Amino acid sequence: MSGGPNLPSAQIAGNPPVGEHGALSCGKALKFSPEARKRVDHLLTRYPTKQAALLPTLWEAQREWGWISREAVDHVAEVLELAPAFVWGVVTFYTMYNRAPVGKHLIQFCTSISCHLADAEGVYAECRKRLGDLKPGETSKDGKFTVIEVECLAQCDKAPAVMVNDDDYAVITKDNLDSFLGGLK
Amino acid sequence: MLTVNGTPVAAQGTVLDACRRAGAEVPTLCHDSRVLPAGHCRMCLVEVDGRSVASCSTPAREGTTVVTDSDALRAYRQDLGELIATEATVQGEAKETLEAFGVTGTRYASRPRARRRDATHPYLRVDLESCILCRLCVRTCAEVQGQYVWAFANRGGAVTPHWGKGTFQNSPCVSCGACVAACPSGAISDVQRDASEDEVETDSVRTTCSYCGVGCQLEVRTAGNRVSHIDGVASSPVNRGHLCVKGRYAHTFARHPDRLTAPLVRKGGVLVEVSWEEALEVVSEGFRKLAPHVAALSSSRCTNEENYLVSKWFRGGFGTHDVDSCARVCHAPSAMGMRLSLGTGAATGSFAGIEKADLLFVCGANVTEAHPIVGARIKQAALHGTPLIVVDPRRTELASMANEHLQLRPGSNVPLLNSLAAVLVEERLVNRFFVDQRTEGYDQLAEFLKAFRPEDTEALTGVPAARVRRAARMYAHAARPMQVHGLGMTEHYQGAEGVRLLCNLALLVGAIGREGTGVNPLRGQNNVQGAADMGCQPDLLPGYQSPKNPDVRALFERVWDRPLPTVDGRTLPRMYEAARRGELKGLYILGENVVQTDPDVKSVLEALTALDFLVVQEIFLSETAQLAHVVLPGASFLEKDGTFTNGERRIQRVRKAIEPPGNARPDWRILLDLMSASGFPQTFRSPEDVMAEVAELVPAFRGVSYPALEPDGLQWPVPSVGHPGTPILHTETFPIGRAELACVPYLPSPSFSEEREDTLLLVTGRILAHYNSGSMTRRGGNDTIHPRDVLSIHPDDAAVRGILEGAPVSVTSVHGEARPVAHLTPDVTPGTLFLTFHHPETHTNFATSDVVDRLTDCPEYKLIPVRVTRR
Repeated sequence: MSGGPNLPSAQIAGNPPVGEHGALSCGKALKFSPEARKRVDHLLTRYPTKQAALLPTLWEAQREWGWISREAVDHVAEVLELAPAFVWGVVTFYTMYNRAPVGKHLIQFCTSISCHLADAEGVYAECRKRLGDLKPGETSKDGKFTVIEVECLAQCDKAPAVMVNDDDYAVITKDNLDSFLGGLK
Repeated sequence: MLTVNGTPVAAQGTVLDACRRAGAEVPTLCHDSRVLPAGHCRMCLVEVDGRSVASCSTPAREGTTVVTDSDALRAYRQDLGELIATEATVQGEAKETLEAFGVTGTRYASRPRARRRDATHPYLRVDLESCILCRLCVRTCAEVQGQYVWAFANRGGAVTPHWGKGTFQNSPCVSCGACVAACPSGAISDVQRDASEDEVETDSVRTTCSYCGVGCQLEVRTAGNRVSHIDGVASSPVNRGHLCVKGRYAHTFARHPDRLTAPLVRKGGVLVEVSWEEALEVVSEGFRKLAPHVAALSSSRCTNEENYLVSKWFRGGFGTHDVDSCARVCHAPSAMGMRLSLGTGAATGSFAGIEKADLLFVCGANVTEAHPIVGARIKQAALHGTPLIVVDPRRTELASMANEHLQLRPGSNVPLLNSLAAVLVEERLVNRFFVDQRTEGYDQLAEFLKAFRPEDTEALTGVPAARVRRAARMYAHAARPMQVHGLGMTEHYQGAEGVRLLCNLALLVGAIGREGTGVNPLRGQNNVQGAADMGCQPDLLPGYQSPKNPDVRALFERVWDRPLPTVDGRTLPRMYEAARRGELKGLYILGENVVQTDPDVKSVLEALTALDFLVVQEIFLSETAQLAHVVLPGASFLEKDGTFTNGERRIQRVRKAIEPPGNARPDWRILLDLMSASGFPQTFRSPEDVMAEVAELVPAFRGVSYPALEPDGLQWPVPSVGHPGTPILHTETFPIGRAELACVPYLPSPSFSEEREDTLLLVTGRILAHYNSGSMTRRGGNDTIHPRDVLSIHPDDAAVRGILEGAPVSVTSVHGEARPVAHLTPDVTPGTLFLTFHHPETHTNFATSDVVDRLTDCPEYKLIPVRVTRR
């Protein structure tokens, strides 16, 4: 069975333990910037109901604040006229909404079959070690890196494959790891 | 046909329905007939033609063979039950279900999930350790109440129900209890039920709720002589098992130590306990000496039978038509307006129309708070796509869901409704066939409405003309538009006339006399309809029969064996006036707390204190009872038999569940004793006998008897014995032949003359947790939910007055001062205020005015110019 502790966002350090409910607080009320609000309003024109626009609106929230905090849930719920509990239910159903702050670079190692055969786990462990012995999902002290394991990134021909935020990186090995990390500013 | 374990049954509904019809036992954990089948729990697996399927979500098909028990199914259920038991400490019904099918433990290692507990709510307790993930909480919250408090978080093995951040009490829960009633596992439990777990439930009685005009059917569970807890009756067409925070939970008042348990008579200025004999003697002597200068105010909280007895006692026994009831202060205008326009002063349709209508038009009613079960049904209809038009000065819950919210200025009902009709005429949206066949006065009305184009009334109503036009078109284009209205229509200077305009709208488009249409007043109190039906209004005898009609007079004089008075009776406000002038000397008040609920309290107090003799029959020593010369301890609805008539004219049984406390007595019995003592003895031995006499005198009740009311009551008219009742009125013709389209000119309320530059318009009303004067709902957990009256004020109005959230404020009109705390909300428009009257210390009705409806004397509670200041 998938889910539970295997969820990438459950790996992120500081994420509430699975089963403890209610998102983490970011400490202050949030509101979309005028630009983000404009994008959300545009989104709403493309869906039959406000509820239908929930997933893309959460993406906007993640783009705006980097992760989905309790306050982000409240604001999205208010904008879409939904119950915050319902929004949180959706957030926690999917794996790619971050439920805790992440580093500037969210490094996602694929460990599915092709990458696994190309020693993705080894590279994943090495990467964490070089960034200061990070645990899975932990963020480096300078706040720049968070490293997690994910399911297939559909780049089996370029194993081991890595995605950093929304960008794909091909054939990351222990040998080119330093130059890969060095390239992330 | 299909066969279930060899028994042939009709192939209707789901396989589970078929199994149950065939009497086969199929275990379910996630099934509830009120929500869509989900197939989550898989316990209902059966074999259909040899294949295992979830019976709850599989349609029954012709010619199939269903087997509900086999080795494979037993093994499957066993395993499933054990898996559930690894994750949850199963309690309650679910435990019983599992045990009944042989699951008592688990062979697997326990793998408990992380848990959440909450005990902050006065009525609900949450302990997710018992949760079996049936999802009934999420589904009933969404599909029955439409509140979306419960949701699911996480996925896979970590999935769990949750209510968002914070404590449960701070969630948006409206405490309807639907999730508690549905939860099979004990994860969500009823605090009251848990508290009485040690006591053996001795009985279960079906009765009718006494909190509003919906008339929900209750299953009252008792332990000894107290209520253990209350469930909804699933088979009732009114509430289908659903209840609200009042009906389900606010029954603890019945055993509150404040209950009156002995008669009180004022001696040397103080009320002292006396025997029933002495009290009856004092009351009958008191009234006999003062007759006929005596009057009765009957109660819409009491039964039909009791209301009938009050009417009979005062008219027959003391020779006065001065008999009124609290319908006067709520829906008298609906009854009058609809009688003038349509011939019958009652809802033309049924609540069942809500699901049949293809448009709902809600006017001046905050249905989800004041009539929560009808509100939930309207909400569900709207969530399922039925267009909704709401006319209300406030952004109520339904208004926030509406396709069109016409947020009018208080007091502008008449111009707004005339404008809607004007659009129908101007844009040729009128159903000419219906209008020609069944109404009169169209040509005159069409001409009259030319002065009410929405562009002309915009300034008066504050509603943009384009929106009025849109709403009118929506209403006209619907095949089955259904109206419901509340006190926002009636409690105005032109209350009854406003209701006539609602009738105009329905008549113009032919939306009357068919299922899912009509004009439907949501009666405020549980038996407002019944109090009026039973003749507790000065101008009409039981059954809306005029004492001026010689045939009617002869009939009543024969049956009652008393002459009927010839002098016209007084309405309640006229009674107060007469009392102040010294013309009315004695008053009998049954179950009403007028000192808190009637407008312009100062003048009410003047009237009551001017009386020579005031008798109050009550369950608590209310603000009104404290002024009385005699206080008689009555019974609550839980403690007596009778009938209530709800807002859809449905006469339903009220049955005694517990005994009244101490020496308190059922009100019907007190009334019979009083009638005997005052020389008008009756032969009735029970409320059932009283109803038999009503059936003899009232044509619309001819076929009403207690056996005929089983099981779900009857909707009057019931013109003959064995008649099934009348869910929809005016299907073929109107009692007055043709319905009358009314030309109603706009006459601004005299209240507007009190407007000044710094006044705001106050609207008063109710909220969900409390009921009217709050004497019942304040004595229990509902007071924790809503502990005080708050004044809704727009943030802009608050800012200029330096008023902050929660600040104590003074609300002053020319009549007096109310003292609530402020709540800043954009749900009211700038210039408008809203205030409830549930707590006596707020003095809400000290500020309300003496302006009344032109036709019925119903007070204008919805329009009071006031000043608001910090205090």
